[in-house]
Amino acid sequence: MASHTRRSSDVRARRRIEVRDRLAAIVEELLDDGATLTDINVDVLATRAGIARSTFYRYFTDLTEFYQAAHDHIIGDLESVVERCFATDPALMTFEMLHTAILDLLTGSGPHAALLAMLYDVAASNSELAEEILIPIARNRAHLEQHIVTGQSTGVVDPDLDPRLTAAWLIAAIEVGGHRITRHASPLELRMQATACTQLFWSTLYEHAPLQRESPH
Amino acid sequence: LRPVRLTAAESAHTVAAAGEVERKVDAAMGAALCRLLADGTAFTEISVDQIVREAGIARSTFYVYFEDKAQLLRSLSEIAIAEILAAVTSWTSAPATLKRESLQCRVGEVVRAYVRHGTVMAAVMEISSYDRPAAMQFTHFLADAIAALEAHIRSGQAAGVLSPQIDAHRMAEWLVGMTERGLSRLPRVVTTATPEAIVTSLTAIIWNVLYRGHR
Repeated sequence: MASHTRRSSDVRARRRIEVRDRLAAIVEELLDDGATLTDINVDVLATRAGIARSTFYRYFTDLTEFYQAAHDHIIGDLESVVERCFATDPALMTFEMLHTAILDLLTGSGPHAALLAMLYDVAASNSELAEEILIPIARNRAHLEQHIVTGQSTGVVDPDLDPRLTAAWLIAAIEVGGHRITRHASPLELRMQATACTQLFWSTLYEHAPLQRESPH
Repeated sequence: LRPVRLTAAESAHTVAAAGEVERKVDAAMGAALCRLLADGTAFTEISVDQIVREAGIARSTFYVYFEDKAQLLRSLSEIAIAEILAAVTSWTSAPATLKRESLQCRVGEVVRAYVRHGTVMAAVMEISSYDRPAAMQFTHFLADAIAALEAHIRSGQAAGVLSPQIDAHRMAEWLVGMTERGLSRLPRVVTTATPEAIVTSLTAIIWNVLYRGHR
């Protein structure tokens, strides 16, 4: 009985992921076609997906919960890039490594730029979703903050920087880059934007540290 | 993108001229909306009825002045944006040789202008997902700020004061994007930050990225 229950909850979880991804793709199609936030509701999504409204509500209590799930999914992938990048010993960080991570972040969010932008719009008037969006942002800020503290203690990050606030500013840049600056960018433009963003991080954190490393150029 | 070369005096004049044209009733409605927003109510949840009650005017009077509450909000954000851009251009019209203390003062002006109009700017962001004129207003605001900063970087590079390796346009986009998003987020992400610490930390980033390397 217990194993049966577990199996059926696994099935439900898997099915929820399928529905989430299908509906997220539909939202992205609708946005591409010029739809705005107010055009999107459960009826529209269910009809386009060919599922019953009741199916939607089996997996999500409301539209907000679906938006949260879609956001978690996109951001989860990006968060692991941030975490891995800033887990690197600051003394061993190179311009190239940082550039690769930032390009990954911008490329990863690029395909979802329209959906992310819409989620931020929804969050502007939906405090529940706004709170949800702040959680991964706070975690990313904490990864970068720890990186700055470590780098300052070994002299490879500018000691004058306030670790927490500097991390908050730079994560805000990544956040806005992921859905505004790189929206509709060609692969070449994306690469150049990644270089400018890397320069922003590099000059802020490492370039003026007491212990110098090789020049990024 | 057109570079904005509005001086602080010109911007102040624009704001003052708008103030002269505005009638008392108009100002009362704006002030009423500001108070409701400052109480923490989301713009979508504020009704015209609430605004006229707060302002102490008749509902019919409201519609003499404005088509809807979004138009009232846009008239407020127009003034807010003019003031923020005036602070931005007071920084970007300075020579790129400016000292760190001077940068700190100018960044402080931008931060204070944004914070002063924080609730109005948040409401504009809120409606720009469905109100096209508001979305355009916000997009133009960012483009103007980016153009002003880009022109500042380029003239500094031409004068040999700023590093030629800075990608003027793209770096301006990142710095403006970071500042705007950071100012709307920071009070909630780092709740313990003082206004001084916010200004100092932003100044440190801009200083390191644009000015510090070349001197």
